[in-house]
Amino acid sequence: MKNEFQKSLELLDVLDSIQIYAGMGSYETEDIDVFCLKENCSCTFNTAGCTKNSNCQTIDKSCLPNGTCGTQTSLCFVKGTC
Amino acid sequence: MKKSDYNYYVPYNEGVIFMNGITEATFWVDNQNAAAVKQIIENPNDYPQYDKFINKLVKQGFVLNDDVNELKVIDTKYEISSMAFEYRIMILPTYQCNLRCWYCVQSHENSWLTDEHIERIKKLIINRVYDSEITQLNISWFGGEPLLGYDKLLELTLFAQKLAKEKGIEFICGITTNATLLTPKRIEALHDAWVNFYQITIDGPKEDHDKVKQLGQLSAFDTTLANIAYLAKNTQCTLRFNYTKDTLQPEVIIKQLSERLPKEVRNNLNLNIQQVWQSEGNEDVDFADVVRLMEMANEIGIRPSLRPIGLCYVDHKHFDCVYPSGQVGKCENDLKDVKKGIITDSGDVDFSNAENLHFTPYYEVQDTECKKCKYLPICWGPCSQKRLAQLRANGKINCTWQEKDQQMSKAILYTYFNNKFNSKIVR
Repeated sequence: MKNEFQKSLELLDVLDSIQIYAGMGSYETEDIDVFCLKENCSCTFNTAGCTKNSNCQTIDKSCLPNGTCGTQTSLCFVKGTC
Repeated sequence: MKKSDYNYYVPYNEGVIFMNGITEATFWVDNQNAAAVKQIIENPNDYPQYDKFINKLVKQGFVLNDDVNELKVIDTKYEISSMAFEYRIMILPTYQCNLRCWYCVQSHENSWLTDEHIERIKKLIINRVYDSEITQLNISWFGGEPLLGYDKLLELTLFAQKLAKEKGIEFICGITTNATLLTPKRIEALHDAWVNFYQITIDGPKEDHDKVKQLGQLSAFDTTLANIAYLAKNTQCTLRFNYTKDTLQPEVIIKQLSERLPKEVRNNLNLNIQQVWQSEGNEDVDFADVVRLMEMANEIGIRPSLRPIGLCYVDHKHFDCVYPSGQVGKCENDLKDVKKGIITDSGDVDFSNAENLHFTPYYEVQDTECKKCKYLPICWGPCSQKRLAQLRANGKINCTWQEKDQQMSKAILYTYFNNKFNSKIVR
């Protein structure tokens, strides 16, 4: 009979081996490292210097010719600090 | 911490697929451990010893901090999915086609866009693109067979490319075609016009494809694959693999694709595997064959995918569909009796005599059962056509799935495999 501690250790190994695949929503998945689920989250990141839309960390904005992504949104769905 | 209200658990292959509907993240656990994992998700505070795993669950939305309001997050996901930054226009130059595939939904009326229509569409695009919200112009060519109207297609694409350059916005252009009317000269011209995406149908192995798509003395399969090999040197292409039980032959189709598509172009190809809709539910297809086809495609360097979930482009915030009559509506498969808008001389759309019930997005319709449904963030309610039919009939929107759990389980299964072959593993 395995004791609870042994079972717990085995489950730890199982959990470590689980491969969680990120979602592929209609937004640009590669950028979604942090899916901020808090209300009134404000994101702080540099939006200058983009070369393509996926660089823009405000997901509803596109990369403009001057290398900026426009204004920030209040909800952060992309890599950034919330 | 608390569990998400949008976690799904679907049995598959002696285990369980776990999915979160908001993030669309997925994973599979064998039956021996699935119950324990579910227990952790549903009671995260009871298992501090598994904090590393729980952190991953938090990152992917299965587990939440207590202050999270998921309904608000779904609203935001809807806004993101509706792509407010993009103006997308789908244009059908004609309903005519040089082929007659048995499953096609169209009756191929002899209707064509005229030169006058093209000039009005140009004005429409100008008007839409100069909306300050728009930073991306997306043109989708559809039909009938859109390349039957090649000259107008090229003219309008070059016009849109120039406009996008002038405004400094991103330009995306795709063509859904049977590819039999492409030539190297046309492919080059379309590439120069920045056509950067094709969707081309494959109806099974060569023998089956050539029965569905009859080109006289020529093999439609060989003609199409030769054109794909040429265009995929520079352009992304989805091979829409329409299968029935009889044509789902993974070994044969992969061998034939391998023989015709050079290795160096395969990273531009996606094999999108979908059952012909008329045979769905009528044929007992072994899903293991579908998975095997995905694995074999992946092995030869072609990305495989199944039918995706998500908001239909018809429900994007800025979307117009222009029919061969020159009229404007939403869905390319709109019923013939749906009254549509007209592009005016100044390039506006006059919807005053159109039936606009199906422009109503899900969240503006009061008293919908969808708002309380756990599948809301992967389903988004009935499509625009079905909304129209319901609103015409009784002024309300209701779920149209006959067997909702079964249908959604299929969508979750497909999402798991789409993620597995196309997404990244969460570290």
